[in-house]
Amino acid sequence: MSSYRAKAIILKAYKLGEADKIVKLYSQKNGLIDAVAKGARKIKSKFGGRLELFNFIDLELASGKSLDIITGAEILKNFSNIPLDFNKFIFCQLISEIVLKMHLHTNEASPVLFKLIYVCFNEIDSLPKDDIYSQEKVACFFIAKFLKITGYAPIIENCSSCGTAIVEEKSGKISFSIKMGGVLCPICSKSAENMPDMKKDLNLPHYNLISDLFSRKFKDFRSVEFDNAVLENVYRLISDYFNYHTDCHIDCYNYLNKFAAVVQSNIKSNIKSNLN
Amino acid sequence: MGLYIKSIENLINEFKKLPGIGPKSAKRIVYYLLKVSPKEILRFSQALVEMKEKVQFCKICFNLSEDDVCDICRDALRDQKKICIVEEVGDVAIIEGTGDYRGLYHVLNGLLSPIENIGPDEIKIPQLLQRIKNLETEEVIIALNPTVEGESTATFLKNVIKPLEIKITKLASGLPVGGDIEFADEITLSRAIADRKEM
Ligand SMILES: [Zn+2]
Ligand SMILES: [Zn+2]
Repeated sequence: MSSYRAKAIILKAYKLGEADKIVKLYSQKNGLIDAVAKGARKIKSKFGGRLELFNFIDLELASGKSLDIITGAEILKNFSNIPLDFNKFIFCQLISEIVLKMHLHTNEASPVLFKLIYVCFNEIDSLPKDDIYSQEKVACFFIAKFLKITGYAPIIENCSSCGTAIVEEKSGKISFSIKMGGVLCPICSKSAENMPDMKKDLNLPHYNLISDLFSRKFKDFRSVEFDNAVLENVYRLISDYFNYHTDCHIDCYNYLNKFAAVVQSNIKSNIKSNLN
Repeated sequence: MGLYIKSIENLINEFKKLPGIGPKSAKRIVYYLLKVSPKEILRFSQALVEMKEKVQFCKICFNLSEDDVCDICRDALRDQKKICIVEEVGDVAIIEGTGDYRGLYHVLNGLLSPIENIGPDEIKIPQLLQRIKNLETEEVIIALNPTVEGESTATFLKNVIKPLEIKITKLASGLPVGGDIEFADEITLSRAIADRKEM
């Protein structure tokens, strides 16, 4: 049995048998790792709180038949604020679910994707409690950059149908077609009028936010001011785009909507009244 | 498997489905049962069937019970103003074992999990809120595991119980009794420091 070391983030953890724990991790160099920690759920286990969800850890592993075996773990970073805000918990689970459900085959993109996961968890952890919009902004950023890394990013600068450069129209409206995979010029937009369910008209703030999402680095994107309603719409558009193109059913999307309806109802109703 | 007797193979396969039992243990159990008297086998199989027929969830607290309402919920001597929230039925027996708690329970039978699509309805949170309102509860004790999932569920519970204006407490987390500080991980230790008590 060969052993190796890895620096990784825990995306999923579940019980196995009497006292074992299975963890699914995303590592800096090896991509996804499935591993088991024997006896990790015992109160006096040497692992203690080290193998908790979302922790960034330094691991020692032994390669096993189906699962690798964790022989040692040290904490590099613990995001202790996530469980103290249920929305933070959902957004981090959303990120985990996307990474786990996409079944990424190669390890090529792994250091970049690892960094993206880390940056987003770290940001969500440090955001003020109950600031659901800043959290949603991070989730949006994650989805956009994830699409880019995996090669699914929409075309934004040019018409996704004919390739002409997009110029600002007098009307201030730009069409975005989920089906075509990006924005449309006025001519192509007109000929696509018979599929309205997949086409949305964006105004300039929406277009700019989408463009920022895909082009900016996180530290620059962070300082972008956003309107809550615009963010909400863009978040929905990007989520629909993700679902359509990756064919991944992400449970956390619905969960977030359902949950937000319970506790955040007052904030949500404020937004609705602003929109009307 | 290399076995030719169908009935033996069937039974081995059934035992293999049980938690913590691998093919070797399953074989050992079946060879042991072969030597047991028919009377005892009958008693064993009857016990299995009876357990499945009689045991149900208490319709108030969702603990295991042989009746509609469990012994704990029916016990008028217990403190009706306290409800202890636990994840699994097994946790009730463990807390009862301490002999230090005389209130009522509410068993969630799970934890909230967006990734598994387990929401408040699936873990009996609406029923809990109804109970708190009806019973004039004074204190809710959250006794969930100190894991991220357990703590997140506790956070959710706190948010939905808070408007009812009752006392909400959570089990303390810290060093295990008999353990050595040297082997404690940073998270456990920093919790123990944060939750320290005046002597
Ligand atoms: Zn065009
Ligand atoms: Zn009961």
